[in-house]
Amino acid sequence: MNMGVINLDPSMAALTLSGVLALTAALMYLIYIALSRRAPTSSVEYGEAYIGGESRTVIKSLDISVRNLFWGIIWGAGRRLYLILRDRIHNGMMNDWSVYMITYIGFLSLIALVYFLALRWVAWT
Amino acid sequence: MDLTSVLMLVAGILFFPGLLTLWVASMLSEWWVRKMFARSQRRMGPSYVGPLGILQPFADFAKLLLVKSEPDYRYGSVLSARVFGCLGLGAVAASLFLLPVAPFSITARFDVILLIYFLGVWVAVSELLMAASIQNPFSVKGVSRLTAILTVAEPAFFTAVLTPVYLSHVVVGVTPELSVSAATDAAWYLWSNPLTVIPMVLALIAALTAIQSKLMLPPFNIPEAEQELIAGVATEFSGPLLAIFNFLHDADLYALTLVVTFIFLGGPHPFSNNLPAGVAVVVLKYLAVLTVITVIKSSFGRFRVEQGIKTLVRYALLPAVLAITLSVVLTQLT
Repeated sequence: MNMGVINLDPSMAALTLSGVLALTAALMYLIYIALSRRAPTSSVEYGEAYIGGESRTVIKSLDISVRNLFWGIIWGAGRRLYLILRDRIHNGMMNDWSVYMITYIGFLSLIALVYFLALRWVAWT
Repeated sequence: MDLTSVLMLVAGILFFPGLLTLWVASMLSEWWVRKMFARSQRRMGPSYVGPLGILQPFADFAKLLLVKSEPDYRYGSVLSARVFGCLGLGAVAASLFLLPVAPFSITARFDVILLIYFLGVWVAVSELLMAASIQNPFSVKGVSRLTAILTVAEPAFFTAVLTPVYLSHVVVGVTPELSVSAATDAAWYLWSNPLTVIPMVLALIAALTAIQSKLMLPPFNIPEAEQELIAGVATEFSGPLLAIFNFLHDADLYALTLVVTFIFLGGPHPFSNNLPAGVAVVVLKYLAVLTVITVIKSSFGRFRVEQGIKTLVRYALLPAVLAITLSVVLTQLT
């Protein structure tokens, strides 16, 4: 099966594979255009979106709004995290918020400091 | 690259492992999954076109592409759906060049990152944008669910893949470092070493669980949620667009199964890639992985979104992170 493995440098490999992607996609697109059939543009059947067999009037808008999409994902995927964040952190008290932010930024600064010292130590040894 | 290499690359794009092989292998994989799935439910599955119905997916594809008309949507962009479908297929084809399956395969230092980029980012984003191109409440809901699932599944899959690739370089010392081709040569050694077998088992479990969700197969088929969301992400597709979407899905199945076959199971090991016995071993391992995927598919009902994500975190993300952490710790200690 595999007769030749070409060893390239990473950037050349990325470039070559991007070329493969573009060429294959272009080829597939041409095959698609050549073989597929287009619908008559006046088709009423395909002009309407299918909404569970109901007419267009059953929904306010055809799209889910970006806000609802965002909250859908948040509530679906991160409900517990959201509740913790809301109850523990976002309680409306300015003082708590300041303490939280100072603690959080302090924690990040500590990590950065440890990382910096570790690098210095590695360089020194 | 010289002229011969360029010509071989073009031949690779056209025939093997490019478009023609990708199409044939994807359709055959679909047939295997459909047949096995049907037999597990005491149904016949594809039976009429070709011996044992093996040509049924080809006939379905040809009918959708050649006979049915491309819909004309008032809401949405058919052009955008077409373009992203083709880009997704291009990305799958590009990622196949990194596996030592091709007569002309490409290897480089850290090329596992390219595999993540092409097979993970490009394919997932193409699928999502293709589905989002034709707007409908059901397909948009399906897209949002698929996004939520992929947010966990993609990191889990590629952390799992990173484990054997990392171990093969650090423990076995294959070069170039973190290369997919090189990892294939060392995979079998990692299964025989008692120190590396635990991270390998964890990574394999994580990879198989993540594949199930990336492909929207049960129990992670909530993005297409038949009867609840009509067909979810694929609700508005019909005719040639549905053919491309199905092809992209099958091609993803083929490429992901092949990644497990090569990186985790060592591809043609114990034979060489160039021998007929090596080819037979690759086919057998490939069918074994495909069968495992089908058995998982037929054993579960559909999970809700939060159940699916919880399961993914428990059986894909955590084992994958544990596997890579164990690998790093073990290699640093020994």
